[in-house]
Amino acid sequence: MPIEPERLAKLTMELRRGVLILAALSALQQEHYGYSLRKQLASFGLEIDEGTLYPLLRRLENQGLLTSNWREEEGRRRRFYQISEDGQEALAKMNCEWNNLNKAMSILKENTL
Amino acid sequence: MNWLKRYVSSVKHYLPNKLKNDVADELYSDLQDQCDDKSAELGRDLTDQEYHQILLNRGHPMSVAASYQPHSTLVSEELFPIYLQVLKWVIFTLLIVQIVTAITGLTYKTDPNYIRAAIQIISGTFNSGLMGFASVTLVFYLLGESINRKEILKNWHPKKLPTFTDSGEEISIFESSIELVFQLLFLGFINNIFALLDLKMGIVTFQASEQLHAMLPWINLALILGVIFSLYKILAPYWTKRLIVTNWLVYAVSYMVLVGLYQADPVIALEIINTEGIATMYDLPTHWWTNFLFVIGIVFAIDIGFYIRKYMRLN
Repeated sequence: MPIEPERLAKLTMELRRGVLILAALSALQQEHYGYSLRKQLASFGLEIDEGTLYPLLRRLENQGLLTSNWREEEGRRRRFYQISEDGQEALAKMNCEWNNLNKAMSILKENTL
Repeated sequence: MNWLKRYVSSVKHYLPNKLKNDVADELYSDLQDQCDDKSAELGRDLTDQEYHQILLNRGHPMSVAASYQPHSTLVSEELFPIYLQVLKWVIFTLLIVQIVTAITGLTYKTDPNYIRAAIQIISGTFNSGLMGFASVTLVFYLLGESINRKEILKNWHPKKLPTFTDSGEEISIFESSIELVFQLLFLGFINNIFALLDLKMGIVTFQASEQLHAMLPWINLALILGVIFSLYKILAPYWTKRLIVTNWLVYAVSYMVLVGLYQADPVIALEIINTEGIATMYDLPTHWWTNFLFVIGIVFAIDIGFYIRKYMRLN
C-alpha cells in the first residue's frame, strides 16, 4: 500500500526537525537576522518555514546557545543572531554526534539494502 | 502593507505581554523582507491577493503566536493515559449513580414520570460530571507537579523495582481508580453536605450535632490520606509488604474516624417548615446511623482480611 503524501510529509518533517538545530547553529557562525538565515539555509537546500525557525531561534537563545541584538539596517529594525561560546561547544559535540549517526546509517544501509 | 500590520497586530493579541513587542517587531520585519523580495522578483508592487497568499502560508495568527510559547499542559504526558482512564470511570460511575438514584426514586412513586427522570439523569450526570472532571484534573495536576518537583521519574533506578516474584500480586489500576473515584466523590459530597448545614434553603434546613461538626476535619484527613494512597497505588505496579503495611495504616486512620463517628451523637436532622410556618423535625434514627457505620466497618474488616492473605503470600 503506497504511503499517503501527508504521512510522508510528517515523517520527513520529524526527520528534519532534529537536524535544524545543527543547521541553525552552523549557519550562525556568521551573524544573521531571521530572514537572511532562512534564505541562506534555503540556498543550501534546507527549507525551513518561519513558524519553525523563529521559535527555534528563541529557544536556542534562552538556552544560551545564541546571542541576539536589535539593529537598524537598510532603514529597518532587525534582530541579529549569532552563536555564543556555549553554542560553539554544543555545536562541536553535535557535529561529532552527527558524524557518528552518518557512519552508523551508512553501515546500516550497506548491510541491509 | 496594511495587511502586514493587521496580521502582526492579530498575532500580538494572542501573545503574553512579555513577548508581544519583541515577537511582533521581528515578525513584521520578516514579513516586510519577504514581501520586498517577492515584489523585486515580480518587478511590481504586490496585489492584495499576493499579500493574502503570503499571510495564508504563515498560518492563523493564533497558531503563529502559539509556536512562540511552551506547550504546557495541565496533566503531564506520562500521567495522561492513567488520567484518561480514571476520568472515564469517574463519568461512568457518576452516570450509574444517577441512574440508580432515579430508578430508586421512581419505585417509590405511584405515578412515575419517566421523561422527568430521564432529564434528571442527564442534568445530574452533566453537573456531577463537571465536578468530577474538575476534581480529577486538579488531583492529576497536583500529582504531576509534585512528580516533576521531586524529579521522581528522572531519579528512577532499577533498584527501586519491587521484588516481584510469581506470588507477587499486581495492583489493578482499575480497582485503585474506582477507590480514588469513590473517595473523591465522598470527599466532595460530605463537604457539600456540611456546607449546607444550618443554612435555610427555602423551607428546608439541615442540622448536625456539634460532635459531628468537630469530626469533619478528621473525616477529611482520612479521605485525603485515602486519595493520596490510591494515587500512589495507581502508579505502583505490584503489592509489596511495605505497601500493605501503609495500606493498614491508612485503614487504621479511617477506623479511628469511624469509631469517633460511632460514638458521636448521630444527630443529622432535617427541619421543614410548612406553608403555615410550623416547623417539623425529621431526625435520622440512631439505629440507621449505627447500622450504616457497622456495615462500613464490616467491609473494612473483610478488606483487611484480603490484605492479610496478600501479606502472607508475599512471605
